Amino acid sequence: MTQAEVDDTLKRILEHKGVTGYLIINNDGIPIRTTLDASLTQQYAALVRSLTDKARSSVREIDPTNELVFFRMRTRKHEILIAPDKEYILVVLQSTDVQ
Amino acid sequence: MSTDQRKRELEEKRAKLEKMRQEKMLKNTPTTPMTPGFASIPAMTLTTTREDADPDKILKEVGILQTASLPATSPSVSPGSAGGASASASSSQQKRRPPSSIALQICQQPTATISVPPKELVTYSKEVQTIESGDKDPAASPIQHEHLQWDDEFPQPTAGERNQLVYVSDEDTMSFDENTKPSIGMSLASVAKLERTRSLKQQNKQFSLQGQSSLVKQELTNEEREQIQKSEQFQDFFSRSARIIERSLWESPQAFDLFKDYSGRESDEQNEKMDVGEIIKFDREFFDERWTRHRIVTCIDTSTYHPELVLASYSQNDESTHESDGVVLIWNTKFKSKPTPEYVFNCQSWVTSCVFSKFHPNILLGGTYSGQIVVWDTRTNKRTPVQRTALSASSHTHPVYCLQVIGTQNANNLISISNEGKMCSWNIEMMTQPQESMDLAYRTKPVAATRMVFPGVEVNNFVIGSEEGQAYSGSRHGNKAGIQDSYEGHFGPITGLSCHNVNGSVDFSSLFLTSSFDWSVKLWSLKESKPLNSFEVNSDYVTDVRWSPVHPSVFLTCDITGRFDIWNLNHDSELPLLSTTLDGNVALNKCLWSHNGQQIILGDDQGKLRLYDVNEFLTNPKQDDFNKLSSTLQEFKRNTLDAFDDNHPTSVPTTTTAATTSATSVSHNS
Repeated sequence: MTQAEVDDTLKRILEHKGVTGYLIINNDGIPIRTTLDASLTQQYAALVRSLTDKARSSVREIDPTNELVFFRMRTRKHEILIAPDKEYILVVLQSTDVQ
Repeated sequence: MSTDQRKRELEEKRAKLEKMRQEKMLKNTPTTPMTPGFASIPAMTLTTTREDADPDKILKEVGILQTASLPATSPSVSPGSAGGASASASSSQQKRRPPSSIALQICQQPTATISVPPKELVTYSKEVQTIESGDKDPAASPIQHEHLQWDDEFPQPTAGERNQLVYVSDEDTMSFDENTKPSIGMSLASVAKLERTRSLKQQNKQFSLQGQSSLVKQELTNEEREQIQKSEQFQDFFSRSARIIERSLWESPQAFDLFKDYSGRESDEQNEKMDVGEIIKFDREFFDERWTRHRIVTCIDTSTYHPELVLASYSQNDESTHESDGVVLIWNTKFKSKPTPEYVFNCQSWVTSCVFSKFHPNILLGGTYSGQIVVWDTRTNKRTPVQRTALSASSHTHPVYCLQVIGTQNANNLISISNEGKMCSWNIEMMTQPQESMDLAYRTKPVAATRMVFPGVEVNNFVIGSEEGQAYSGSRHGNKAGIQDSYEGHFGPITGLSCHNVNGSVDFSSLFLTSSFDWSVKLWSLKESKPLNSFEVNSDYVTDVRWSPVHPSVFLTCDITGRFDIWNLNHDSELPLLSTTLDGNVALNKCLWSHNGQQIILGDDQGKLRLYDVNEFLTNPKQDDFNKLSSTLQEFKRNTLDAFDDNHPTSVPTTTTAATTSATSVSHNS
């Protein structure tokens, strides 16, 4: 995938119904690419990273051969989709009020 | 040595002894050497126990005679101090009687208490021997806990902790100063817990503050960000995660309904059922704005490993020159609303035929217009082929119109056939040159093949359709390698070829269908050089024909007017069961049944793939369908024989034309 295709895909994700923004962070919690504002980005970066780590370690503890693949949190206002990976985490926020 | 002197000496010595004793009591030495030894005595450092033990002995040594002593001891006095030891030893034995006359002082000796702290037993629990990652608060362990409480007293271990300690003490206004230390001791446990949670909270805040500060410090510059995004790791990660996210995004609208709308679930299920009267029902279409616009669908295939995946190859896009000529897309039928392809692959020249590798779950193969055969791998992240055949005379130089993977899991080959009549067999692992190649020629005339099929699980015998309109059967190996029989009947190039492949009570594997530009579809048997039947309901080029993989008497045709027909030979051998023309000015180029026979996929010349669900009675053959088909075939034979009898029984061309005319007349009649 070239950079342009990455951009295209992200744009497509953003245009999807209800999506309010996305965020790509690396394992240190540093945002690489985001559509949220700075303070929100920082918050999400720190919180999502620790949350993902916790989820990942919980899954591993229950069964060491298992691993976290996808993480979806539905809250009253948003749905947070987290796709974790070895080095990076892609987070997409989707609003539930649209429906 | 007068007695007076002696007495004076006695007195002095006694006083000295007393003084010594008192000094000893005052000093109160804690450690008592257990072995005083006689050496200490001349130095006059008498231990208390020693004194208690035998004052007589001591007195004897200094030459003092005990008044209460027996007369037997008197001779012991005379030798003096030198022999006093032996004498006193003997005398002391006799002197076990408590010498009450001597002022023995029984003093209370405070026992020296030595307290040795118990050996600290350090234990490890067998499960967890390391600190949990991410759980770095020192407030967790009780020992360091004390450090937190009385931070003034104990030395700070590390700088970091000190910060936290300071943090805690600043905000902590409860009872954690030194005055209330003793009172805390009782309720230490509960307080400790409170302290722990509070300190945890503060810790997290501290961490987040620290984190934020560190983020601020480490925030990437734009160049760094660009760099990361260009890196391969990022691309890998992104293609994987974006796919997952897109799928879940497209699934979530229904999921929302599940949460909010209680009746939503029922309305979803209602859409699944199809009326019995309906033969087919439109399911969905696959179209990608960027990749499939202005391209013709040249080949479709479904995967054996993942039946929901559909592979489609497209011709070149004449409108836009900067896009790559060869495009192959994999679509996923499982996710109903996701409109984008799962995978996109490119190559240099447009792809004329494509196929999933039956025995490798991640390999796709494509034959191109230039004669190259390319291999794509879905495991890699690249869109370009991982392997390419060389453009040489040993392989193809004309468009590769047909690819098929034959064989078994362990011994499989790719057979390709090109327009020049060359058939090559390849090993998928090594595509640099073909394993073997064969020039197909029928009576020294090369066959310009457009279609090729290996019936069933055959690896040797095949059927070929050519541009001139003849179909040929041949074999790859054996005595008569090459083309053997020809089947003449069509007047135009053969566009579609399909061999019967349904396992049932009766074996129809010698049947095959051909479609051609001459507006007809013909049914053949491998054993006969004349067609068994001809279906002439189309009024334009028929572009493809396919037997159903599950029903013995059903097949599908499509033509260039956008019309597709489903035939059921048991129902009616003259007219199709269903004939539909698509709206708009579309021309259908390819059609395919899904592996389970429940869906049909149609590809048109505008880059769209349409999927239709097929009614159940066409996918579940009944037992007598096979028998019915045999009887239908008998009928066909009878028809041709009748036509044969009716006309002149000599020349072949006339009989064929007569057969076709009689067939058409029959169709008109019915």
